[in-house]
Amino acid sequence: MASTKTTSRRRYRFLPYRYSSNGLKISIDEIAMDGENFSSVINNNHKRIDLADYLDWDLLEVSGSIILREKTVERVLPEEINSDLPIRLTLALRAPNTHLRKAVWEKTGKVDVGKHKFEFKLKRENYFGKVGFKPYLIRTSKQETSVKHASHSGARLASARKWTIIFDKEEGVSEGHMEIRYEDFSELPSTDQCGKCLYHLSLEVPSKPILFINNEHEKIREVLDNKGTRGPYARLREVLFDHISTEVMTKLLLKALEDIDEDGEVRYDWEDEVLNPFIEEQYPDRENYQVRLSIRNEYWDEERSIVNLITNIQLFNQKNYTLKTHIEKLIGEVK
Amino acid sequence: MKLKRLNQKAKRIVSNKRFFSGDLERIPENRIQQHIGPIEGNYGVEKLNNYLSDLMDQYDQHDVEMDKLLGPKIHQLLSLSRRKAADPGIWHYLTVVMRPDFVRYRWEFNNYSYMRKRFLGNVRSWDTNTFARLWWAAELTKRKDISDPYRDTKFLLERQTFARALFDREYGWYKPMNLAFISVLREEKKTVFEEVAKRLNKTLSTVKLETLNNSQIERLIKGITQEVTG
Repeated sequence: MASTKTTSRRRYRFLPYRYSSNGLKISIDEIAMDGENFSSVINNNHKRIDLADYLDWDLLEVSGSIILREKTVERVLPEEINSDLPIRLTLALRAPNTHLRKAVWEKTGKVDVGKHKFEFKLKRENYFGKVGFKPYLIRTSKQETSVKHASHSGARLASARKWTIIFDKEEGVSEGHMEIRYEDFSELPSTDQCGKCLYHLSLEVPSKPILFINNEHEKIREVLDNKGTRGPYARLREVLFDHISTEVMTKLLLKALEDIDEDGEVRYDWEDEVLNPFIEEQYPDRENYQVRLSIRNEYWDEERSIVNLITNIQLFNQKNYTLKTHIEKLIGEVK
Repeated sequence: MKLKRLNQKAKRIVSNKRFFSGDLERIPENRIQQHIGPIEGNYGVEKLNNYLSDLMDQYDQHDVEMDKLLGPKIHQLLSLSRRKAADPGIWHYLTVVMRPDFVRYRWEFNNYSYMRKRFLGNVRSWDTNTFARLWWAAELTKRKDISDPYRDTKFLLERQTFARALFDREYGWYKPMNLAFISVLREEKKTVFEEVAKRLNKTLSTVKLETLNNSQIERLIKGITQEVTG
């Protein structure tokens, strides 16, 4: 069972046994839609199968393989490798938009180290938007010989990076952009403590962050709505957007950090979209998912402060949003 | 009467306190029409429309009892695939264009954001849109193995806190879990099923739910319930 620690900041969980978040390797070899091969849609680098441009089909067939490495088994099991291993492999699928979780493939019986071929079929009528799937190595019996290893039947022992099938591009959700709404803050309950604030990032529906901008500051809205590319209004608009963006990005990144799980996965697509550029910029020499696990630990560790993380976010923001340059241009306009 | 959808751009027009409260009964047709699109297929929209009127005749305003009747009914009349039911535009059409009066009849206007989610809530979070929450509750609990396929749905929609204990967590997306959860905990008090729900969620951080069948999940929940009740 997961252990739970309580800190002054919040409660958190870690797996109390040896787990290998990248201990399995999965590759997709072939995709067919209604029996016709469409393997060109497989993107191995981004672990994506993008079907959004294909509108007229009913049945998807996916085939590939999972590699179970010896060193993974050595790490997560106390048993001798040359005996029958108490494990099985499964592919678990999650479809948030259609509230569906299921195992789409299972290798039961004797599972050895090496390559295991899989295939599964999905009916399009059951899915919408983005659907994720990933392999898991599961323990199939109890053990009491080692406290370092998972002891209960059904425990997950190892996994791999998630693959995403894009069935549809979701309306109103565009990568890298969040919904922005102008509202009268005096009428917006979520801003009742700050009716005069300029903006408010709402995570009330965590899957869809919304940036509210106060409609009641007419002069500021005039600046934000300005479409010009030259002159003091354009320069001021850039500075304002930079300022709001840095604050918003800090909050989004902190929320994404909070949601990183033991496998390095986050809960929502937008969290991947803010985390990946941050990791690439601030941790350029390290593997993405290793960084995720490392910053997750940093975020939750009660012995350490999260000041270092926030410093990294601020550095990232200053590189990403050219506030300094825009302020200099504004100064140039008003001189 | 055909089923239609409202696109996301309409949200800006609809997000209006006067509309949510009922001071503005309907969004004027000339403003909303451009955001309405078709949905393929034939569904019992007219029957649903009449049924909603009947419910309003039979029940007092804000009576939660309406849910347990409307849940199975809406699921029967709108025989949507999960793919289609995932489209928030359909649910927004029903709440905003077809029956905004029913939304206001079912929910008391407490504040703007509360009512906004009853009209415009998305499908991913369960307890938001007035009609989507009922359809999905039925979809996730309908059974084929008993004479009344909606028996569990009715039970669930009669006990809102029970429904939230189940659907507020992602284990509620796994149908065998839903059936086991209801079967084991239906007679338990709120304090018990809420604590079991919390502990179950914690347990499932190490156990892969999708590998468990109905009886294994029942055993798991019974074990946790015994721990909770002592």
